[in-house]
Amino acid sequence: MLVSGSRTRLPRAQLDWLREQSARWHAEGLVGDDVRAAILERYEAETPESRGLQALVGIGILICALGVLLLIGYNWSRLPPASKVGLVLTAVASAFTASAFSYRAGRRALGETFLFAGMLLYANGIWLIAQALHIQGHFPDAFFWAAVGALACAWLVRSPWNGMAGAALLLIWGFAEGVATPGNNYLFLLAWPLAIWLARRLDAPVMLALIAVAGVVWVAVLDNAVTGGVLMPASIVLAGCALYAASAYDRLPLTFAWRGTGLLAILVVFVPLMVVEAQRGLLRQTGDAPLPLIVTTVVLAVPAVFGLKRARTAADWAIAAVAVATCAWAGLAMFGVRSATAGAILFSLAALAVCVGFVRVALVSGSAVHLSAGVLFALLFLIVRWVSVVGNLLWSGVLLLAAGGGLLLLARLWRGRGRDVAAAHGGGG
Amino acid sequence: MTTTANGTFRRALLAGAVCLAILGGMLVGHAWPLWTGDVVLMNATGSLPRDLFRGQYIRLNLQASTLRVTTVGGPAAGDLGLEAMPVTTAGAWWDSWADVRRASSAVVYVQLAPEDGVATPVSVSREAVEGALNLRGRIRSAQETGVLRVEYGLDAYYLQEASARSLEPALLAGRPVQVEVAIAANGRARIRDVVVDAVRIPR
Repeated sequence: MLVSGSRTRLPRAQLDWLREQSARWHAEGLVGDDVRAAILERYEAETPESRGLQALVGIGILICALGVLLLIGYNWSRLPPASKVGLVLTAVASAFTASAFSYRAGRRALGETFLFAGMLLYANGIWLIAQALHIQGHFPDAFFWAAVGALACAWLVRSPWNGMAGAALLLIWGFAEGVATPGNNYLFLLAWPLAIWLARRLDAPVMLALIAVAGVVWVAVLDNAVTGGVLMPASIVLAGCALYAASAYDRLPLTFAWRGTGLLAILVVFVPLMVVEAQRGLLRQTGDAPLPLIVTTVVLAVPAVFGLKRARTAADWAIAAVAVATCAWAGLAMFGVRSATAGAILFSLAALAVCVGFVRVALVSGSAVHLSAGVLFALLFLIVRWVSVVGNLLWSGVLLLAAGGGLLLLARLWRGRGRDVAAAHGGGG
Repeated sequence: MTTTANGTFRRALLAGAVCLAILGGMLVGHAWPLWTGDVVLMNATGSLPRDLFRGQYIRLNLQASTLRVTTVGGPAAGDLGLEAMPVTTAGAWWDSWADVRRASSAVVYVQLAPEDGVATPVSVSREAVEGALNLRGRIRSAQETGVLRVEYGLDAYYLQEASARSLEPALLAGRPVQVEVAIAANGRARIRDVVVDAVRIPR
């Protein structure tokens, strides 16, 4: 949508829709003739010429930018270090200055674009300066400082795009630092809550989801470093449950970020936990589980189980049950009670419980998101269990028949619910 | 112009200042050993890899990168097929070699002493030793035999493509490589120059 003078340019189809709808509102007496005319006066259709001009300008700018980058790239190795550093600093300063002046002129979109470009130039500048001056530091530090810069930009200018970039860099740093200095990245414990606070302040669900994923990755890498990954899946499941539980304490639309990442973590790690051979491999090593493993499990279990306090729906209770089952499994394994078959059955039942919990909520509330989550866990259960009996035609047939029948029944219930809702609305009218 | 637009104008400039300050800090951190440090020459070997992201550079393997801590014992360096420099421990050190192995990526200080005009490692410690020339590094790996791989952040020297081509024969022939290093009082070091076969490489 473009603003030209005092009139806003809309695509032709959108303007036609507005004309048609406003004519109907006028016919129904909702708006008067003068109001309709005043509304329509605010908009005009984009002409093919204006669109062509926009495309031409856009392509021109893109080609010029590429040309400048290639020219710099061609001469980069010939430039002395001082020129390289000067070029990087000037580019960063120019982008931020352009952003500031765009904001002052009231052009927010352009300001945000320049700000994002400035942050990208800054992050790349870290590597370029390191190369120009032969700096061989601890490589994850570059991601950390890039994340600090991006998050500072996001905080100062309330920029969700920079926030998302900062969250992505934080994720990469958490992983890289965890791998480079195993079991030593406790600075993340300080950075993570600050990033969460910023995402909530910016009301940015995608940024929050990325930071939540960074938390899960940090837990996984730490677990791998401290315990050799013995109970890494259990830690990830508990972290997922804790993230899901956190959604009860937040507002829309941030709850989706907490729940989505929590469920994703649980979904991914349920695959090995439902397989007997994978369970056998994990349980074989649990005898070596040292004290930090127990501490990690307990620390993660507390927020996961704490979610029980706010459990309201069948889906919440199902996730709480998953947390309790995971704690029990990890606890029993640590004290020598290890059965791979029982473990696989336990997590298969947990997957079914999550499926039933979410489907139940979907049928009561009509939430398509809950229905999708429930069906995802059902499909996960089906695929993992089917793979385990794929050589046996009888069991494969029975399983597929049961699963297909279950999904058809669900479709029928969902459709019936839709009719009930329509009838209730009709009765009410 | 509204107050909000003015506020955002200032905050965008401040964001730029924060980013430039971080880059500036990086520059000062880099330059500090070069400004204030003791300059020494260290022996190394070099190879010429080409990296898609890093471009052309000499990968430097300092003599001080592979140490054999003699107080731990184990077979002689030659038996391992490694050119490990024998060093003793000085000051604070771990109680057992198992502790050293667990302390992966921990910071260590290597004490250097001149030998024929070249700084050579003589001892290693967990903390800087008073009165000695300390080179700060991180443990990269520790083997049961007492061999310690240490990283100092001095393992890459970026080059122009033409310089790299001219150096290739000398490096392939295994000609001697020396690195001129500036070491600050806190042990952090930066490369000043690289000398291949007694010829200084142009930056």
